[in-house]
Amino acid sequence: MKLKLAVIALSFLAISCGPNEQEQKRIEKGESVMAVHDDVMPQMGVLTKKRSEIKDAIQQLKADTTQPFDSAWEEKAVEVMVKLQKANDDMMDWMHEYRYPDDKVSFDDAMTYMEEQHQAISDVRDQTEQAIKDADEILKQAAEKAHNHENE
Amino acid sequence: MKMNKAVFGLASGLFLLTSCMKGPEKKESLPVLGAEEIINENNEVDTIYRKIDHFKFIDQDSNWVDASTFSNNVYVVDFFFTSCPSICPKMTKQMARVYEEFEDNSNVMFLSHSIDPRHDDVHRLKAYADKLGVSSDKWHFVRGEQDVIYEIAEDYMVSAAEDESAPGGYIHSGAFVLMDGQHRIRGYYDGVLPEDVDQLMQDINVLLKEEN
Repeated sequence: MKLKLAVIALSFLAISCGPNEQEQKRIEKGESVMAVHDDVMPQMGVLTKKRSEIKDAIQQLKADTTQPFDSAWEEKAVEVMVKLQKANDDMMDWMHEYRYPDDKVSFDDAMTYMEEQHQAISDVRDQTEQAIKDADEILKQAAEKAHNHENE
Repeated sequence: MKMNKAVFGLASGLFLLTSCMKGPEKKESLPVLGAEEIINENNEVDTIYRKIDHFKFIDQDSNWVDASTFSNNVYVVDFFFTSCPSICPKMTKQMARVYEEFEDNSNVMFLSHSIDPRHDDVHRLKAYADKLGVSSDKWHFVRGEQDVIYEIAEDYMVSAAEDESAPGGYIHSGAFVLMDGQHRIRGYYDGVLPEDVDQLMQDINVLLKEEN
């Protein structure tokens, strides 16, 4: 009798704990996806700002007729501008497409989806950080070019 | 930046604490923000105030919206995008609260800029406005070229707290900017904090008195 009761109690526990635990896991996974998003979001303004800074730097160096314009550098600079824009667009696309899976989606499918999304948004983060790094390097080179000229 | 954030966090925490205790502060008048000192032709120092009156965007009804749309009205400005999964829904909810409060006052308007022009076309902005059930004469959801939107965001946020003018911080800071009928900046509020938005509503009333 006691054993029976224990079995009933245990299976009740298993049933009632199961979904709660899964619910908890689902929420936590969702939060981990959004945590990466929250890391990237403040960088979005930086992407646009750096792009316009590079644009200005190219124009300034081009306008300076007293020294030869380095078109190989310009090519690199334009490449970085494209990278900055792509990081911005990929972030916007990710946000546009991402949906936290609702209860109609099974636990397993939801977890798989969010794992993929975690990877996708992490890729966007890496791409964003790399683009900003490259932009800083290009802007440093532009400043050096302007500075060299001043010292001549 | 971390330090800044900590200070900002502490400051907003304190602010929250004091504002919780007091409720919105009743003010007699609001300062004009964005003052710049220039030397005039008589070699005297003149103070001029930043005016943001040089824009033209398309709204949810495919109509042009420019500064004259808002002239002689009090209006609230923010930046958002329809697919934003994090703070925008909170901001929109707060802005909708302000909208409801002043729904019958034709002198109060709203201007929300989308920072995602690739996805937020007129159709999408319209659907967003319709879902909120707001009138397009009063609340304009606008789109424009990405660079132009970011530039104007910088214009609005330039005299906000230093933390927000940090590169990239302003665009997604969740700030509401209160503007007067001459397109001058009169206040900044955190659009995700209900207490701050209560203060905004209080301040709108102060400005309305001033405008009349």
